[in-house]
Amino acid sequence: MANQDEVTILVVDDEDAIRSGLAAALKRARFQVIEASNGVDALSLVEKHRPDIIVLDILMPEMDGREVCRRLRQAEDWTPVIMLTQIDATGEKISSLEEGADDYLNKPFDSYEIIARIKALLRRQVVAGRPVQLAAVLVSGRLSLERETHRVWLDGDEITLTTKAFGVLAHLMSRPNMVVSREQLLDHVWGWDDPSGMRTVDVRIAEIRRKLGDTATEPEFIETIPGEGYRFIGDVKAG
Amino acid sequence: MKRLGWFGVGFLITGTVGAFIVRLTSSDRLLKFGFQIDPAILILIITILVALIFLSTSAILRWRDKHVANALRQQVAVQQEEQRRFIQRLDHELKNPLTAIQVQLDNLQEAAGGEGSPIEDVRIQANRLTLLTRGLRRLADLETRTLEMEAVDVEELLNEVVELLQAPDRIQLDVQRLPWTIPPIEGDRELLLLAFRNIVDNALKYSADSLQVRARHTSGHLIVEVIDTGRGIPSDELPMVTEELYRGSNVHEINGSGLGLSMVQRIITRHRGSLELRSKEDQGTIVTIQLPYEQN
Repeated sequence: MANQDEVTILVVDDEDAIRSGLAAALKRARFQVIEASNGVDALSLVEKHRPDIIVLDILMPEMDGREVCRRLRQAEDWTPVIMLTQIDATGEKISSLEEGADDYLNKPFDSYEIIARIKALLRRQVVAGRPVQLAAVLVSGRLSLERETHRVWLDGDEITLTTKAFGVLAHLMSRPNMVVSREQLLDHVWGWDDPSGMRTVDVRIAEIRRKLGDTATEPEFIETIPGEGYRFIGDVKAG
Repeated sequence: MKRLGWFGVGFLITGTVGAFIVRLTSSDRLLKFGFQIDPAILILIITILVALIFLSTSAILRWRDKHVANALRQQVAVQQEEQRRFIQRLDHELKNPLTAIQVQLDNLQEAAGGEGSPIEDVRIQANRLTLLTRGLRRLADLETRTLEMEAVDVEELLNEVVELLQAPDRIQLDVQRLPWTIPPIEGDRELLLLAFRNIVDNALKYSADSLQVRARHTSGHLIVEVIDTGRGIPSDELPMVTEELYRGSNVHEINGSGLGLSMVQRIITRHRGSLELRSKEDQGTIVTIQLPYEQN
């Protein structure tokens, strides 16, 4: 990870209080911060300053966050984007990701949450061009997953997973070799956090293992990290 | 109304039989008004006319009741939709100010020198509001979310509830095993877990003693009862406890959002089941959830 002093973050939100508050918190965490209050300004600042990460609100005047993200990706600009979602149904999150966002955060959040997400993105495996996280098809050995159609194949045979199990597998495969906590999985895949959810995640992991013929003791794909969460251990490439 | 219809039918039969008897027993004497008529025919005509009045009145009343019931159902559906939209808007409008408050509080707290400052109290209240907006969002989400139906093992699910609430000594779980075990029920496992966990958690919160969770299978239904000997719900408040943000008058010192039972109600309704609460103040509460095995 680059030295935080050298990391520039572009914060884009039309609410002054949120934007200035976030900027102050990020500066305190020793990031360089630039700000924009709408999508058009954001695009010109990206051009001018080449930020390392963009924190992007969705609902904004002039040009909304989705359109900003779409234009960046069309221009083959893969600067990591964290979307600040307003509409919280899980479908909204999936659509943000489909527009090319790398991560998303539900409002309301506190500054510690967003700093944690920024650091996680900075740690992410840096690859040239389109990151694995945004690939439409993910392949790991005999396993392949097509994000858009929600289909999974093992040795060429299609595997049927429940929607949530698919979401968990896609999330883990998109972050190979990263430990993902149950809380993160709940937040990303289920769209809400709930104490009952911890076990809920385990149930879906068990479903994935059963369908893929994987085991917790000798994992081929998903490893359990006691007290921490899960990790996808296979090499993943874009299909 | 139904009785009115049957009365009409009964009248028709009796009148017809009466006319038949009159026809058999009387001579061929005719009754004279302005015209001559056989008394049996007269009885038959009167019978038919009266029966027709009864039957048509019954039909009109039935039609009217059905119409009123439909109109009421539509009105309730419209009100529910308006309420759902209101909650969504409320949630939406609270998010931006709450995000600003949370973020600025972090900045203030750092400036004021960390924990222990009065800002900490403000943060606790802001967190409560955040939890409330999450609850409201989840409630709205429950209305529209697609149910992920699968065969759910009831005993395993209830065991998981006990495990999650970390109070195995206080929960007596009694799941029917004889003469047959409870068959798996088709449902959204996560939502059912959320519903049962909420009910049992409430029972734990509002009662100091142990409680019972009973599950059994009757013809076509799964019945789960959660029985506690806690403070109970005042009888005049029982109809309101599943409304959003409603909190009982005798539980204010216990933390709660007032959204738990609304969520349970929605989850059970979406599974075409029913939720019934019976309670006596200072004696306890019985919550009965009934879920049909046939979802369609």
